[in-house]
Amino acid sequence: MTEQLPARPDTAPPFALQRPTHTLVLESLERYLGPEEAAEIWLAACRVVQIDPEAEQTPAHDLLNAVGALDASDQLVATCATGLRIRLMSYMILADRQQGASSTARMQGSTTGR
Amino acid sequence: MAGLRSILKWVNPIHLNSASSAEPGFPVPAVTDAQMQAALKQRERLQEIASLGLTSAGTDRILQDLCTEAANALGLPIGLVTVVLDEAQHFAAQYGLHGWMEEAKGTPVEWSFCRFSVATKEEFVVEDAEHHALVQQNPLVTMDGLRCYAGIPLISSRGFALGSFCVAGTESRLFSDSDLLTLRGFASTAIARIEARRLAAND
Repeated sequence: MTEQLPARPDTAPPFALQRPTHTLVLESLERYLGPEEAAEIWLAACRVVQIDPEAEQTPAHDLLNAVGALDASDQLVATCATGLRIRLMSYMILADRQQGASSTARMQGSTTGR
Repeated sequence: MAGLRSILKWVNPIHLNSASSAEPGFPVPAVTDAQMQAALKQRERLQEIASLGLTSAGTDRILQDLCTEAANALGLPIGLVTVVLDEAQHFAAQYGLHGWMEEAKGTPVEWSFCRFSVATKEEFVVEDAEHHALVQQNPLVTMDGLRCYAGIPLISSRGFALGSFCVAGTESRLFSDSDLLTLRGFASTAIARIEARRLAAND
């Protein structure tokens, strides 16, 4: 909710880790629960954190909040949520780290250019 | 080392990995991407992981101690109990990890070395990651400097590969039969501890 697209890039270079999406979350939930229950649970989680489950792109932080809402379900869903959380956290940390590195490089470039 | 290799069910000697040209090294597992995906995404396996509570918050102190002891016993900086899920590997216990992997408590599954053990239910050993066909392009190698790894699959009493008990380091090294024997001992204790959770939950 605080993150404005494209605050983080679609991939976290140079790790080339793709930005996680609703589709990825739903596909994972389907592996654990089957399609109908997965859709139902994901919709409920999105409602809790007030994000649009149909959105093509959702900020990673918002997806992370919705995945956090899955923890309130049973052990099976919480296990699925663990995998998704790790993926989202990895993406966010690495994307932020790269952005920080890029900013530093730009600053150094502008300093040495003077 | 020949003894260990003879009991592994690997094929295709062309793909032999080597830390040195004189030493044949450990074979590379022949697993297709389809086989890998099928293993990682198998619903029954994921349900088994859930039933054992392996991703629950809070680290199991005994598993944590095993990681520390294994790393120290093999003289390596990292020891892990990993749980390989469909989208990520989760560190159920760890010793020696810092930075983003410690913060994320795991990695995306496609970077997991342990996934090979899960897919094949066999040990996976990398003595020189920079020259290993399966992992030399892995960001954990190219970006984070992982160079050696030895993992023993953690297989539940119901026959599901949950993850690995493994050690890793940032310098290439050879693993002896004795090293792997030691690691198998720790893995055996770890899976017994994990199974004890099931018994406790059923009591």
